[in-house]
Amino acid sequence: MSSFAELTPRGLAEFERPQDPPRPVRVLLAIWNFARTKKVGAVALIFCVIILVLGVVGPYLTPYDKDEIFQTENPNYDPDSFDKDALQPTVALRLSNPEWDHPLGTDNLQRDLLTRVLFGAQRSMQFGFGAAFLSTILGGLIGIISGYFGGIVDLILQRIVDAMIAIPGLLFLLLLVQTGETTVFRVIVALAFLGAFGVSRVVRSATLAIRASVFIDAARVVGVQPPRIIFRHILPNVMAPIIVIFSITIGSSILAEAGLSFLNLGAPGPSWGEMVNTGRQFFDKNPMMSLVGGGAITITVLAFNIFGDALRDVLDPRLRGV
Amino acid sequence: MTNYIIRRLIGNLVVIWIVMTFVFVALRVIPGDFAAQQVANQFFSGATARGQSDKATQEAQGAEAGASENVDRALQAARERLGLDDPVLVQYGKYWRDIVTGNPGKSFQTGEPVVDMTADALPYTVQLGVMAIIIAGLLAVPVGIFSAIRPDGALDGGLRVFAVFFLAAPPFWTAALLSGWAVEYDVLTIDVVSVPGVWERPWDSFQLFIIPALAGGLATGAVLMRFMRSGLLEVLRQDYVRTAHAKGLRESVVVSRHVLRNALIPIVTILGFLTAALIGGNVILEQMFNIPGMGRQFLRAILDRDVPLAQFMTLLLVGGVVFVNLLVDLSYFVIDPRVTVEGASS
Repeated sequence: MSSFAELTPRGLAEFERPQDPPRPVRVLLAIWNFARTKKVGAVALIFCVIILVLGVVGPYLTPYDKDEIFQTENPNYDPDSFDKDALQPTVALRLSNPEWDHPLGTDNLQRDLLTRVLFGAQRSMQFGFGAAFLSTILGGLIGIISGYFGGIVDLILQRIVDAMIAIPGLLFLLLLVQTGETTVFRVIVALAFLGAFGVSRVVRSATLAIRASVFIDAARVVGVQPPRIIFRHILPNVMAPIIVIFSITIGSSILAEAGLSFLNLGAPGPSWGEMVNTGRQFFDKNPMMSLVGGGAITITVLAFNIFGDALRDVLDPRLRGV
Repeated sequence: MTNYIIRRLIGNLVVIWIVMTFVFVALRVIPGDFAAQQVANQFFSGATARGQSDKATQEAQGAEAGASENVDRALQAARERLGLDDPVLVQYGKYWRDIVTGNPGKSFQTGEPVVDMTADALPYTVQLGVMAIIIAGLLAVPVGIFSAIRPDGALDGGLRVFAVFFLAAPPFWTAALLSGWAVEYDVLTIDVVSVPGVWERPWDSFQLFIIPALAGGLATGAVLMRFMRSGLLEVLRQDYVRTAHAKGLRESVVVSRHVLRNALIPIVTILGFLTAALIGGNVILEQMFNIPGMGRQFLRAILDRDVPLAQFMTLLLVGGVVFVNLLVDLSYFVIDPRVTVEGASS
């Protein structure tokens, strides 16, 4: 038996509008739900966070500088000897095996490899997040405009996108990077352009689906201007694919940048791609450099890809296979 | 249908025009040109030859003002010879005239006609690409089918881990490790110096190409495998597959007759994309193994500002890519009679 009080208007109003938990709690709940349904994705997310944190604080975790060079005691040291090799008290610590002071050993120029890897993490995070952020904004804008306005605008923009996608990625990157001194910022912008066209395809098709909805027609009929329709009505509804494509673009940008620095055409400084290339010349002496550099790239891209896939399954299952 | 093809062809021509113009502008926006490099080399090597004695160096420094004038004059002469001193619009006009009349000029670097240089490079790229695609196909097609028939089994799980790994691992890393170990344990003799041709020294050529092909093939195979699996899973859920099973057909017949053909569309799409990558040549792998294919030549052309070579390669690459994409779209009509022009053009 329901009591009279439950049927009063006040009771109904309370029933219809349950109190939303505050925003931080909602975010935590969403993450908890994600972790429960997508176990692999959650593990990948943990990896992503660890790599991101290492990218931010990594250079402060190591006692060494990225260009510091190391010596070791000369085992043959004998000041009275006439042998040239025995006269120096120390010798270069070059391509050494892992030991306590240098957990991954040293590289071909006597520098601590772990320190180089951590500085490389910083760079990769800058490139990954910077490029993904810019290319999502740029590609999102192209995609929404192309999808919303349609017609001749769509036709022109899509032909440009087709054209830019037809150029091999690395060469496209190279043409943009070579426009001036190769700085980190320039490489990020070039990577952003490379990623933007792929992003715009995804956002465009999502926009086309939303545009056909009745509420967009309703907004147009009451005289809402296109910019407002785009930002208030379309953008919130295509946010899911945008977030997904953002997380996937991080991985592909890191991979593209690694290719560029593998060819020694990237920005100066320690980088994982360059490590693989240098290490390959000393592979017979110590394969550590190649192994570690490429391993770092693979683990990072793997973590962001798996997380992106899990996110896609949760947020937007229609995107499967994109 | 004819209408659709004509519309697509016009679209493709527009795409080619945009790319060619983009590359034309980019090659002129990036600082430094071939003339400057050539003159710099000439004067730099001259200075080092003179710098044998201190006295000569002092003389050279004293004559700096005069030398810079010489440099300017040499630069001007070189630009005139290469046609780089014309106004940009005139260069753009000449550029299209040369393409339309089928005379895309000579390479700045070697003086050879760019058509010959590209023809020399093409076989290497095709060899590498074909080997990579064969490896990818051998890997992805059976594995994708096994994976889709028993989804979420142990085999499927293992294979998916494999695919996800090679999607993330850069091919140049796989190639670096494989070649490092192959040389260390004397499995292969990799001849990166003389670049053996496939017809002259097939075995040497195979040994050189197998590692880059494997590295590229594993990466593309991983992509192909995922598409294969998801495409097959989609089809296996359809009613007509259940009907085929209900009729008492054997599993192998159901898969080969009813499932595979219907799962072809996503696979052909991705194959088109892969072929485009093949035409582009795997720039990094070619560079790594000193294979003088298209990708490596294109890279060199951009770095050396060898404008005619870079422009001609762009035309060929982009022409190839849009042509393959058109073929892929047309093949849908053959593979799947349900595909209509209206559906395809939206």
